[in-house]
Amino acid sequence: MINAKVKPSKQKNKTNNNSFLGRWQRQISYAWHNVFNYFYQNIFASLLTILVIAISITLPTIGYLLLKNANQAAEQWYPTPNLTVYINKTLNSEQANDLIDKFKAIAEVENVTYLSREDTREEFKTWSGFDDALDLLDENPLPAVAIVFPIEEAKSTDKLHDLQTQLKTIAGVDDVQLDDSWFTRLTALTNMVKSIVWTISIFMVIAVSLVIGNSIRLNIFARRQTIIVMQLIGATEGFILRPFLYNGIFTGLISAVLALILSKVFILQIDSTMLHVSDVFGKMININGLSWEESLLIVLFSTIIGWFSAFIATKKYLNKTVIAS
Amino acid sequence: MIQFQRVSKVYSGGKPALQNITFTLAQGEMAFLTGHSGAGKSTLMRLICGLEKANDGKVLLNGVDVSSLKKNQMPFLRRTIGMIFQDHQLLLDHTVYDNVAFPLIILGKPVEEIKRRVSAALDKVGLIDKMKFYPIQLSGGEQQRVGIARAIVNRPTVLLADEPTGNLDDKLSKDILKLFEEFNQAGVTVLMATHNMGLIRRKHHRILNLNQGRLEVKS
Repeated sequence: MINAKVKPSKQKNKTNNNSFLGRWQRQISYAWHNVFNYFYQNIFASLLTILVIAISITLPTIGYLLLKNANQAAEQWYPTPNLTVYINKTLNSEQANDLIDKFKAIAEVENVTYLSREDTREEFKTWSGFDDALDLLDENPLPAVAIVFPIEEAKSTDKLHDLQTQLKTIAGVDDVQLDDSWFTRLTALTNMVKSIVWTISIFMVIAVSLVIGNSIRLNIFARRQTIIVMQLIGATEGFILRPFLYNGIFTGLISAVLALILSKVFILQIDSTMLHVSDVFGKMININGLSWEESLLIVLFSTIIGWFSAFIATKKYLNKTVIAS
Repeated sequence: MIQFQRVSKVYSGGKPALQNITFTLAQGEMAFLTGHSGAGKSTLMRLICGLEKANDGKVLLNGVDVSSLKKNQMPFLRRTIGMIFQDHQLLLDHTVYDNVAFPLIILGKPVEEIKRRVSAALDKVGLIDKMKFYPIQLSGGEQQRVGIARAIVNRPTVLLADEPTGNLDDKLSKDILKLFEEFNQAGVTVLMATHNMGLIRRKHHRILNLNQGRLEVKS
């Protein structure tokens, strides 16, 4: 009875084992087995390769982190760029208010602060120290002023200049001054750093591809006899490629993870020095690390580079070899 | 079944290796391919398994034109052929068991099935007690028998042997030949290339003799 029950299930199991999925699974696990075997057999060389790649990824990552934090710091510390509008002295307060409403109606304007002629006079008195001199004059020589704050999207040199010309055309406006010298400098500086980081990143991507490709080439060279035998006994190109591709994926993945750890170490180290800087400047400075999305992107990118350079290296080898026997 | 129809092969820049070869080897037949060194025996073998392409004529294996197959179809052709080489093409960093299991691993067979069939193949060639050994630890004759076990493990319909006894003495050569005759009796088509005329003198199988790339049929 028991035997009779066991037999059919066993047979079913057997057909499952020979199904496409089962075959595929076993071939894949064989390829991974190969990768880890090769890794353990050449543990020193493999680790060295991974370290080289990890450092190559860490450098642009750190560059990116510095750029990101510099941008954030700039936004925190620097005053928002604004335009100072000098209003014609002949306008009375009602007309001036109309003018302010006109400013507010412009799409690029976030907010307007109005200082009447009396306000500016008071401000001048308190800031300049010439209060006595002003009293000597019959008439208040200072115009009313509106300080226009642009919206976030308009905070670029070009758009600010556009806004400036637009404001100048409005009747009742004498002059518009834009104090954007620091802003222009900061933008120029960040752009420069950005292009440097980009250049380094591109070089590093090339370096990573070459290093992975080279290590795969060594791997192929070590296993060329195996490849010949595989070709002779009817292995498909996919079967031959697979362990090498997985090796590339594996190397890329592990290297990226190691690079993330190295970047984290860098952040922690910088953070401790930053504590001292914060004390000196009297301002709290926070260094932001990589977000989850950014980390994932780096890992994914490195894995793809690994796969791709392994594919190129292996394919090139397979295309040029003629089986010799 | 192996069929050659007016096959010619010229290596680039050299003299013709094979000229106008026509013969048919029926299903379950056994034949010897003889000839002096450089007569084109290896070329003929390589044409059958698609390692070389004929310049002219047709090579049919089980009714399929080998030269018309695309590169990505070749592996499937080679799976139906058991190939044995003079230098046996074994993986020296793998055990005897792994070497014989290789064709089955490529097919993605389950472990139990591989174990069963490898054991059967090794038993057939008399090396069942040496499956944990490495090829380097075996004698020349034993290494050749590992190669044979690997060729038959996937139960091919055609067995091609290119000088399988090339490096062996008479006694071992006779053993190997006997193995091939056993496979042939089980229904496998066997084509064996050899230059050892003494070995096959008293056999009654067909002999295909190559001379300067031309075929001379004896029986």
